[in-house]
Amino acid sequence: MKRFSRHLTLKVASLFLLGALPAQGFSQTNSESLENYQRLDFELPADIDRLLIVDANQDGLADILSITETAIGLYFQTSDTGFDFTQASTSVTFQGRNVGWDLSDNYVDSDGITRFSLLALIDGNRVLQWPIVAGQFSEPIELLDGLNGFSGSGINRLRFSQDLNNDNREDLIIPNAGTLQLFIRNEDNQYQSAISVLSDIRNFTTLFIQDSLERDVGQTISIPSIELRDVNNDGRPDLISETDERFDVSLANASGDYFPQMPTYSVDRVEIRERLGNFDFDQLDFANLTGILALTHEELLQDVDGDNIDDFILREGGKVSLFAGTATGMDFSQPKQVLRSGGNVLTVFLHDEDGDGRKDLWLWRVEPVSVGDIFLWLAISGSINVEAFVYRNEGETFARRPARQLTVALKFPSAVRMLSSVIDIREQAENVREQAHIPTLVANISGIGDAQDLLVLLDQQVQVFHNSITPEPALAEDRFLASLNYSQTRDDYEIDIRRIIDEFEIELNSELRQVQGRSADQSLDLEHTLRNGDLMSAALNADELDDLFIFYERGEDSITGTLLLSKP
Amino acid sequence: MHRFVLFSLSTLLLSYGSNAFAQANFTATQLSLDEWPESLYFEDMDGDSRKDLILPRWQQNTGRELQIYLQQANGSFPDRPSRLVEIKPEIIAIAFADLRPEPGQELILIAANAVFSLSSAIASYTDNLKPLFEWDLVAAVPDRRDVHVFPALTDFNGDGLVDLLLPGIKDYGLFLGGDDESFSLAYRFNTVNEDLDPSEVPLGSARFNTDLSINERDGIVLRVSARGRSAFDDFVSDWTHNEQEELLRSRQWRPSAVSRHLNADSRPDLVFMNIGNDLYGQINILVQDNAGGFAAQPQWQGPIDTRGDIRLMDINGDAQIDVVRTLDRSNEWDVQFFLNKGASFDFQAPDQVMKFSGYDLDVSVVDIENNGRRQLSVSYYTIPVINAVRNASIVRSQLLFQQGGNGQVFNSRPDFKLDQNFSADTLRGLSSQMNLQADVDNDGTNDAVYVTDDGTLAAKSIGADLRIADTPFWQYVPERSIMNFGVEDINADGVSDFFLRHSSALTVLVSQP
Repeated sequence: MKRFSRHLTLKVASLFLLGALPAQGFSQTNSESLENYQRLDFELPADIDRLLIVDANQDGLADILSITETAIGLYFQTSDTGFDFTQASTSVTFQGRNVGWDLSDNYVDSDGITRFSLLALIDGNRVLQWPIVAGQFSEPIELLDGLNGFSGSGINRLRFSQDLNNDNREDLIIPNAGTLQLFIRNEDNQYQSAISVLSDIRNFTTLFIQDSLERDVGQTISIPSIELRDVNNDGRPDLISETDERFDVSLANASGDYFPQMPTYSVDRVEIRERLGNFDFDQLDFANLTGILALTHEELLQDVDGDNIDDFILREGGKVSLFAGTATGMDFSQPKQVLRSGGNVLTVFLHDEDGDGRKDLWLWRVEPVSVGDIFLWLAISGSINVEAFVYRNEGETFARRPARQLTVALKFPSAVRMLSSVIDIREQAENVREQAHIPTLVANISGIGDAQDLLVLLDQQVQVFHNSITPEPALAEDRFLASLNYSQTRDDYEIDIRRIIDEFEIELNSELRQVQGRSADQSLDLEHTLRNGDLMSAALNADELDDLFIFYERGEDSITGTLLLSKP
Repeated sequence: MHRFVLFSLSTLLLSYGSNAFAQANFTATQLSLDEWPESLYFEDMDGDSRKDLILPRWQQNTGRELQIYLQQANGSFPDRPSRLVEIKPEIIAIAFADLRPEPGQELILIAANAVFSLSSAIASYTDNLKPLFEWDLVAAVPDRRDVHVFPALTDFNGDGLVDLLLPGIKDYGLFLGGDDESFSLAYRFNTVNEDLDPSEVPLGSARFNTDLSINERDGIVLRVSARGRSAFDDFVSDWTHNEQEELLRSRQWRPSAVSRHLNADSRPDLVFMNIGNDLYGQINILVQDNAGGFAAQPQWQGPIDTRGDIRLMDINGDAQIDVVRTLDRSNEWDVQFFLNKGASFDFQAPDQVMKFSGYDLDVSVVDIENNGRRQLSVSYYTIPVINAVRNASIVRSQLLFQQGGNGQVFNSRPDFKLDQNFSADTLRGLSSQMNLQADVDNDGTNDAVYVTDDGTLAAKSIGADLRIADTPFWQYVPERSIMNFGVEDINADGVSDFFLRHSSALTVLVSQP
């Protein structure tokens, strides 16, 4: 019988660690707190959804903001006692069914003093600001009203207060149906007329089911951040908006309203698709299914000619057009260059191939694939060649002919074997699901060594392994085709998906392997039974040590746990 | 501007083939659309007892709208929409219901916090839109391009007026329809088990992050990582902005509920699945009482293994809904049948288990002779390696089972099996599964309708022994390739009609006497 989740006790799970952790082998056990840490037990209201670390009273000590389904509360930190968790020092209860909230230290109170503030879009129609004054949320100030926006069902974090024009004043972004309304704030704290920009709002909704009982009903909404960067080299961030239908660029104005009411230039992706033609099964060439790539298009906004003004590259099937960017827009009257490639063009991108500091054009093609090939691949393994052609940047335009050709052979198993591998991976995933999750945390608790400490929450103990987790080196920002082991001197590459699948492994609790065989350097006994506990770190004061939340239980009546606050 | 090109063939197509069957005549209307007709509906919008074609569409300039093509007396459809209904940006979902005295169905428009009615016969919202009631829907944000369309509404209390079962933010609401377009909230119920202590609520499976991408930095990336779930995921964080973070991410979900007949009376009941107090999956049944009410708590609850697909269907023809659970292990499938025992089930002991081997198993129950006696239809694909190497083919198997004896729901061995081979040359036949729901020749027995290897829509008769005939008795040769097709009685003559989806066109075949 399958439960929704395994209900193993952590005793069973701890068997994994027994080889690593001799029962009597701890070098230090402390029932009060960890060394250099002050222990503060807490019992928080059960309806708290999350905690945010803020310095609300701007005293240099981080405070804790609690968010529930209806209210936001603040627990202030003091230098002597830390936190008093008995009740929030101040709170705001929202009057609205749907509220999107944000925080900012960029707004002034009614006396014109800059204060840390809570901001909220109430039922999509008005924005209120609650400044923190004398340790309390003061009366709300209305920033905007008469809006027609949304922020999802219930109370949600809406990152709608952002400085869009680099003037050190945060502006407001109000989501609407498929658009974002941008309100730029002037020096006098008044707002410019709203600018509407299209947004690729992702909406996944199910309101009913037909027969399958296991499906839920509800909605997930996701709105990506807006893209702001200087595309015309005037030092002011410009606005780029991409949706399935349009590619819009709004250049910042030097005077007057920061953004124009209409985009400075646009590319109509619908019109491009109409020009290329819709997919039509009756027009499909069964001998060259990859010929369907002729219906694809892509748009790149990057500087090609080195004037620090972005130019525009439009690929339509195998035709690549380069348009010149200017300080005031984009010259779409005539392309600076048109390159045409035969074959099935997959994609293009820009990358400096020859090290001359100029971005070259990489055009990728895939060989024809027929229906017959696909039927054959059902049973036997196959290979597809993907070719890259490099057109060198000659300053103003690209070379007419490619200077280099790379071939990547993509080898893959038969569909039958692939399906079998998918089943294997799924079973591997099922096995991982059956493993008990042992809460772990990588943090700096001891200050010892260059590596991080590992904390493990197990058997009513927090066990600390000093200097045990070496952070993985960050991937190089300028890496290029890293999975191919790309070299400027090599033109033939191979990717063997069979090998990738064969070597596939899903691992849970992977940090524990790094301390296998080691004794914990410190441990803290907890007097509480852990029901669904966890560990989390935060930076609550100015020292170099992380502070530590140990959660015992998220229960019906309360959320219980302990805060270990580092002592400077 | 949307482009319509219509080929209103309005042609009477004669069947050919076996003379043993009545000929089937159809009027064909082909509509060319500028994109794939993803969803389409047939409802009688003008009250002439003929169903009309409704296409929800979106255009960059005009936004969302319903295009309504009224069916003509000869079964054809006009070359342009007869009615256009703008879907205002606030509307999240719609439903069809006959609410007003004027002939035809009206639209029920469902927004985040309120429900309205609207007649499609009036070209404007002015003097047309009528508020019905307020309700905080579980979804608060409309989709810019799509509008959700509820399935046919249920008359819960048998008064001849449709009722509305709507998911809300906190619970479900059942609104009973009354006279003069009135609706009253008659019953609320929560599909979430509130008796569970949050600390006991299972956290679900480990989370898997899958990364499959091609980019210039990494080349080709295939990466899967696992992370255990915690009750405190993302519980503590710093407030400062991260440029990579989304502007908004909101999530609101709850277990779904559906209305079905769970017992022998004529009143629909309610069923939903959630997590029981024992942390197992739990089926909950709310039975409608004689007075048309529901109890505060489910009359029956039972644990069920939640792995696999759990589907509701009447498998034994007693007009009470049963449960079919399908579980796959590799390409081996277990299908478990649980019969309804008076609005209760024994999920520990399936009434029958059947095993199949293949890919993409499809299980359905059909009433081929339209006599209430159910047959089991099973189809799946296999890829015989030797055949594939030799002539590159895939096999689709169609199995039919009669109801069984000796306590078995269905016979353990198929009464009929048809293997169809598909190769690169016969690709068109793979586009759609064989459909057993249509009675093309109106002889009272359903036929097997399928797309032939050369792309023709064809029908074969099914014998009393469930044998599907070797040759078709009816064919329709479409002008364009069929991507898939559906069956619906569009003109209420008891004879099955068809709609055929093409790449960017639609053909509607309406039977004629």
